Amino acid sequence: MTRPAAPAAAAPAGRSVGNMVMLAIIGFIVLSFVILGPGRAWETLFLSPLINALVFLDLLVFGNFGLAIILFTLILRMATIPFTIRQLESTRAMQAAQPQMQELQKKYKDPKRRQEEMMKLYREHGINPLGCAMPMIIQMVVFIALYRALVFVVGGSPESLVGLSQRLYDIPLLQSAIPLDQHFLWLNLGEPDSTYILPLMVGVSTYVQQKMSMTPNANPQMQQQQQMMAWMMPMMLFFLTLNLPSGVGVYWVTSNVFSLFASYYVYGRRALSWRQILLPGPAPAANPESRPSRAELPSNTQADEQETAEPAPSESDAAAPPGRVRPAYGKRRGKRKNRR
Amino acid sequence: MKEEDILLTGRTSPRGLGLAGLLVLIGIAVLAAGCASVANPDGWAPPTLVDDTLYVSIEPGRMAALDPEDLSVKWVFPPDTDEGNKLDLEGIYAAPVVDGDTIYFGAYDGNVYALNADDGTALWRFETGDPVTGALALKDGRLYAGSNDGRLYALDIASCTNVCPPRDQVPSFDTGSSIWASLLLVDDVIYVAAMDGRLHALHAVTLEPASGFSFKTDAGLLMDPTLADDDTLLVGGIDSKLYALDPKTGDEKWSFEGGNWFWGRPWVDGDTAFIADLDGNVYAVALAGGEPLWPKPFNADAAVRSAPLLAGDTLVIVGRDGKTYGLNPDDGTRQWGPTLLGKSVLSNPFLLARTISPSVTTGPSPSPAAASPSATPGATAGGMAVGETVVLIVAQGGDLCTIDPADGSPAGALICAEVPL
Repeated sequence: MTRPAAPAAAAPAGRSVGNMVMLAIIGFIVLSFVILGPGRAWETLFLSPLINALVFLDLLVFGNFGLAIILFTLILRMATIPFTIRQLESTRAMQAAQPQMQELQKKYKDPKRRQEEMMKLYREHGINPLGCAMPMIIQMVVFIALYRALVFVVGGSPESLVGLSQRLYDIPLLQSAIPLDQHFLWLNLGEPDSTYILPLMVGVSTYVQQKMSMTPNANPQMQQQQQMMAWMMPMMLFFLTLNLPSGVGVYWVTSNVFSLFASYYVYGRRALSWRQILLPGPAPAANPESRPSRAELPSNTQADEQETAEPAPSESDAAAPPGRVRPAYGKRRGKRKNRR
Repeated sequence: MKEEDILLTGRTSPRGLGLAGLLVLIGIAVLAAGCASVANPDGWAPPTLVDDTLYVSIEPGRMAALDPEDLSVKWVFPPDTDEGNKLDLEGIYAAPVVDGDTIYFGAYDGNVYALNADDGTALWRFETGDPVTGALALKDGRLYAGSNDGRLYALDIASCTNVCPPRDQVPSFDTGSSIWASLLLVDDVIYVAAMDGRLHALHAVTLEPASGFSFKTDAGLLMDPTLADDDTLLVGGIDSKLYALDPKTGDEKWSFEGGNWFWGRPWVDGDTAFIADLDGNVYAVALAGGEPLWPKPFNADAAVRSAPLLAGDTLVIVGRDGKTYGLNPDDGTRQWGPTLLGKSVLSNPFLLARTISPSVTTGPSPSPAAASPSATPGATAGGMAVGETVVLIVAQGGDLCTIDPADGSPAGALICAEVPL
């Protein structure tokens, strides 16, 4: 199930096309914000289409707005799956490059030189430092837009219905769905969940999802930051969900569950190990199996090798290409097997 | 920022960048969530004048009795006591019904309340399944309430001495949808507009559907059903159409299409119905055939949820943005305005005739200098008091605004003011 992280040299042409499309979309959005103004552009590009899409999905699922939110989330996550996969692959590639990163950190004392070497290493492994940002940005934009949309669609007050009238397209089919049923399971989708169940679900699923995507880091400071984030993010979302319409929480839980499946697809079965979830931090970075061959190291690295007293990697280490590295948490089990 | 820039600026690593970005995005999300307030129900009940008392919701979820002369508060419900503060009515959306010394109204908390009209003490409350947003109707000791739970309840007032029977023991009619609009009681028939687009005509006593009556549109009916004349019943809603129906059969006589939803009830004057939609368009429609009577509709700057009000020779329109306009009812041209209230307004304006003493200075009450050209001649008292007609507007949140319908000028020292409790 585990898929190899593609090195930069083998980056598919589709990726650059994807980048172009992404840039075109961002350019279009920026241009719209400049031409229309932030308020109108936000309404036209995000809020109104989202509201109408939700109302349409509500019709598709026979007036169950909770299901409409779940369906919407799944469609959105499917549509942005290239970004998500890219993010996960980038994370995995970073895991694979950890030993080399450690090596470079030890080897080069000059920060500028070290960064240059790091940069080369990233290119080698196909790591895009900004690649992780896009799914996050999409998530956050949708999160904010969905929150605003829910205020209007199932805001739970006649005032919000007046607001909805300004945003609902003049399509009889959509109009026939109003007002939407606010009830889903034990929730009133327009109001915060006072039972704490949904906020807890959001917190727990976010925590698990965070742990799945955490990478071992050579820098202890960074590792500490990661661990802090693994707790902070779920806690923040827990408190946020306590005060937001439950529909937003339903979106968040669904999105997290989708992310878990995406992690499973990219990382394989080991990504879902309880050990990984319950351990306080990510698994150690050192992974001899994951070291690339010398030939795969950047030329500068090879040249500078002479300056250092690093022991040469073993044959078996050199044989393993960087892309075929198991994630660090997977490695532990392997070691145990060896011991046995 | 290019990748290299990030990597070459010392300690910034991609992972650190990701974390920082995540924190910034969460911050933005929290900020956006905080700034964008959840649309809490405030209510938009219009004032009701009965004898010498003006009943109005001056705060979200609070009903007050005011003196119409100086707008001073007689009582407030729930009162500002420990017991009263436990009650949260959430919002009141329709004018109360007053019968003798009792006042009845529905609230967004799903209850129907009965209060003593003299002092505002609670007599009883009846719990429906969902919010009550439309006006109630009263006939022969029965109180009719339409609820968002889709049921029309016919409550025998005598059965509510202290505690009302539970709702499943009260006669009711299930519309199968939700009820947002006010009820209309004509003789023995009660009209119930439902959000599935159906208009029900029921016998008030038996709650059985009136035989031969049927009307259904494709979208919800939000507008209060209005009897324009003996032969014309007006309804409208989310499909942006105003329908004129035969009140006996429900047959459509004509329909008039607006630019957006019709929510505010029309003002009927002779053979003309004035109506506004949520795009801010105001129309004059002939009751005979549904033709527009103005060369073009008047367009307010914002949605108009409030009903139009004909005050003398001026049609007063109040937009959601608080802009108030005076129109010529003959052709829809602007006579004055917009007068800026500075508050959001969704409730119907109310025409209030009163006698003003110059000693009154608090709140929105007018000063002697504000006595308008519309002052009623001969209404002075001792050469000091002035009689006048003002348009009273309840803004969202409960502030009271008064304007002179003749020219749109403020009818008090302040155009809008909070009523001190």
